[in-house]
Amino acid sequence: MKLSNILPLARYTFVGSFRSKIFLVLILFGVLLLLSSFLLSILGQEQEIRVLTDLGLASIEILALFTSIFLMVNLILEQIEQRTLYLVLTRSVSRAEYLLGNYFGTLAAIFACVVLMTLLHAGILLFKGWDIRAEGLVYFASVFTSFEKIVLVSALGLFFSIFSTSAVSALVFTIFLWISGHFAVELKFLAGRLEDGALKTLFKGIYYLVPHFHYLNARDIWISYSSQFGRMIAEGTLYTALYSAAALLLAHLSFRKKEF
Amino acid sequence: MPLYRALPVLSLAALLTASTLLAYRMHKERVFPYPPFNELIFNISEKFQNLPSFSRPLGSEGGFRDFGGLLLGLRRLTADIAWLSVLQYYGSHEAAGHEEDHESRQAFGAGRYAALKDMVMRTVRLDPHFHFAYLYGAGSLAFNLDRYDEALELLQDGIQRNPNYWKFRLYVAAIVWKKKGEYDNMIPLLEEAIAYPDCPTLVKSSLANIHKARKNYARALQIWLNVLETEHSDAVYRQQAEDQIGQLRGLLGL
Repeated sequence: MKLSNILPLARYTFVGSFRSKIFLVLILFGVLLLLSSFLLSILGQEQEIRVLTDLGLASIEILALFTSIFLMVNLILEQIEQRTLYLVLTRSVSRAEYLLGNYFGTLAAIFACVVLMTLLHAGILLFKGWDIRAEGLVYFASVFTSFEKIVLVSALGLFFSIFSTSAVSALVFTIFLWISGHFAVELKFLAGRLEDGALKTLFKGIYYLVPHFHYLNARDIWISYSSQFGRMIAEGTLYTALYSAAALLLAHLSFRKKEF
Repeated sequence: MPLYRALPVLSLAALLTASTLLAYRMHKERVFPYPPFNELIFNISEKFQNLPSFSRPLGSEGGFRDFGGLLLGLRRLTADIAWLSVLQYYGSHEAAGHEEDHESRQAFGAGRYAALKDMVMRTVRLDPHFHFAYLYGAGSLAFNLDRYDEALELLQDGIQRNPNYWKFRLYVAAIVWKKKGEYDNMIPLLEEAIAYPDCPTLVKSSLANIHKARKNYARALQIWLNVLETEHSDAVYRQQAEDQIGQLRGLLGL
């Protein structure tokens, strides 16, 4: 695998993403959502900064999620439809390089989008009198771990888009994993309530197998584990790397057997 | 099968095992610091079924919205929305025909607000670390509505879920003294409570009113001046502070 093959593909995908109408519409929507949070937070009265922070972080995460899902799911399918895929694969580019180039290019575009929204949001917060020295660490850690979730869900989205061949089913599978990943802790709770048996084992198995997005919600876990916060972020990052690598490898295994 | 052909599958197995082991370790070392979904309060309005729909507490239905928020991983935002419902409910006139009274904030507390404790509880079930919601809810119940037991229930829940947040104990003591009518014991505790920046303005205004009723105009004036200086988000409090400052200055002959 050559980096010199991956980088031009990533650059091409990055630029191509900014030409995508879906991407631009989502960015515009994100900016509008952040600006509207400015108005909505006033309703929070004495908790205005908290409401503004939570609303902004949620907007950034959800917008990044939709952008990543739509881009990743359509990435390969669109290129098969437009037949640009054949052109690239006839060159000395391996299928693995092609996948990684597209994946990292799309992630770079989403990262740029997240940075843009974070800057806008932090600007609004500072304008409202936010104490960046007291809350900045948790805020930026939250944005970072949100992006980790996006890295992970993008890898899953890419796998499903190759595996399922239909954009709609890939979309459904990816969103399903996003939800079950946040609901994993409740699955464990349900398993704990069941008597020993196949169902309990199934629930426990699902709990360990689905991505643990709840441990990547820095803003939720900070308050209880502030003394271990650095370690939690490091473990979350390692977990994201391992899980995403597994999803990308699965995508590669599906992609290499595909006949065009 | 040659090893190089089996390598991707072996790598996949290794990655999946490593990520599962890491998840297992995170799960074993740390308890997820939130109550399970079966402890969420889904439908407060059930208690008010006998009332016509327009008379049921504003914003008391929303359990499925809360559940949806959790599924998307937006716990804090969902708690914030539930909190906005509390403010909307407690900030609206409950009693029919009650005219708005700018003279006193008490106009907003003129109703019974029967669902107040449940609505605050719904918020803190979603985010038990939302300390301000506990303080505001208990303060409103105890100092505005004279419902001490409900206020204490709320604070006990807060203490159970946040054993290190000692300010709840301060509020418990103040409420217990108020319940017994022993204002001399309560006032020093509330004085301590209002010295902290996360103290709800509602508690400050309650204390200022108590000082005024006990003819300690100078201290009441100081508290209202502090409210005017620190409260930037609620125009009603600011208006009330300005009115009270005018009155108290007159009483003090300033």
